Amino acid sequence: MTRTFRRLGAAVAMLALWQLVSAVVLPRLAPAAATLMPPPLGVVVAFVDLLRTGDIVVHILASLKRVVVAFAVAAVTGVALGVAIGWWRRFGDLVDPLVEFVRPIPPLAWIPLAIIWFGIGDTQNMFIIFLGAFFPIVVNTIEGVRSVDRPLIWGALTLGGTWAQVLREIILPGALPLILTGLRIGLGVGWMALVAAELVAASSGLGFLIEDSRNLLFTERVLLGMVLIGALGLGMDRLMRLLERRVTPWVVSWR
Amino acid sequence: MALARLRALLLPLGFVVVWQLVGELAPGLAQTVPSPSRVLAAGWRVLASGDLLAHIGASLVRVLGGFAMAALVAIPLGIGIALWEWVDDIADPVVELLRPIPPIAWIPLGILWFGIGDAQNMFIIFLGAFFPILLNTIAGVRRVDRTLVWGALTLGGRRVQIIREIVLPGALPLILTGLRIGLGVGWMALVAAELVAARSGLGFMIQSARYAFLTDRVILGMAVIGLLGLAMDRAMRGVQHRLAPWAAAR
Repeated sequence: MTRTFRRLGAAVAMLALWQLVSAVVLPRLAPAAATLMPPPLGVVVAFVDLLRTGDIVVHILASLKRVVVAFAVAAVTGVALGVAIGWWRRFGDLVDPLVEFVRPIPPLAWIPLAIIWFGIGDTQNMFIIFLGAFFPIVVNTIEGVRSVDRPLIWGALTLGGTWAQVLREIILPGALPLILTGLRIGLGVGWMALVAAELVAASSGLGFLIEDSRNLLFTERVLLGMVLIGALGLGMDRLMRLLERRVTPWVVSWR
Repeated sequence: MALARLRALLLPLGFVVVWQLVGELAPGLAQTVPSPSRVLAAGWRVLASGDLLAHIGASLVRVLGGFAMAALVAIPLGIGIALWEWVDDIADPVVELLRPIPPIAWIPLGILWFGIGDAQNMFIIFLGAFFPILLNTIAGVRRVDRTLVWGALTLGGRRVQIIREIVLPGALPLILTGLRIGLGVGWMALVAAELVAARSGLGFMIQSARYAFLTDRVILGMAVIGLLGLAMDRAMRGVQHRLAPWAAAR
């Protein structure tokens, strides 16, 4: 208990020191630097301002919509492809090299090409998120399907189970923990990719907000956007962890 | 074995052939989907002019600089957090506050602080590489067998000796994993930073080629970025095998 207080104290002291330096010390010593490092309370004021005008809600919703749609597409296609590659050896031997051929290219490196293909806006952003989320999902699904205990499959087949039954009753539940991990990692990479895509090619969303505010030297808004990006990313990660614990409670996690 | 290898090449090769055929049969698409032969030709041009090597050099210098700084700060800090409670109490809340913010989201602020160029790019790489290294170092040190430490203490080992002889070797496998992941994230962060705020480097090359509508050069740059990232990952795996062969998984 005292330890929790000490930790909280350290965090609060840090914020207080930042507030003091940014609001009191810097404006006197170096006014230019003060613009570049606004105090935490300034960020709160910016938040209230943007909340009042409603701008912040628009940006958050724009980002969330892109992430959710692209992630859903990546989840459906990624799990389907992963199951197919992990399940049919012949198919896997053919398709796996193609996946490994494209996978080393980071999703962010696709941004300029995606702008040529799709222009600026939702489609381009969603394409980049899709690429970011797709590969972790595929790779983990393959791993999950291949990790399923073979004797269980043979047993089910011996007892007269059809392939469809084996797939539904044994392979999918067996692969589920790793599929969920892939989905969680994919969502994280997708969120990071979204921010990059919006930085370069969007006219709404949190990535656009911080880049636009940078151009206008609204440093408070830049920091506010960063905090919101971090908080939303953390929230999504926690949600996925909760889902993991709910759906696959038999997997003992580290924490 | 040879047959399996041939079969593995089948689909990537088929993909390239179809891509080339599309380019031959639909010349109208040449601007948006340049064929592999055009990409190779563009590769030859930038290689011959020396531009490509200059961009690769710029990117590598930044990555190695930012990565080295991240390793130098994160490994000692991670050891400190894992070994001493008071370091943990001070540093951990700050780390947990900053960690959820993706390195990419620091780019605009990085531009304000450092302007356009090397310092900003390295700052973003530093942030990308820092947290994976730190977290893996903490986990690695915490995983070291306590009884070994107690034994060494009982036998009269000094604190420095214990850190050097027991904690570091014990934590090494996870530290190396952290370095490998950190290098990967740093490389990705570099590309993003160079897209927005650089006048050289591979990220800058593909973005400026995009402005000039040189799509073949964009695709070439993407391929080079992917290959270099892959090569760095392989190199780190090699280091892992060399330094911690007892823990190298797969």
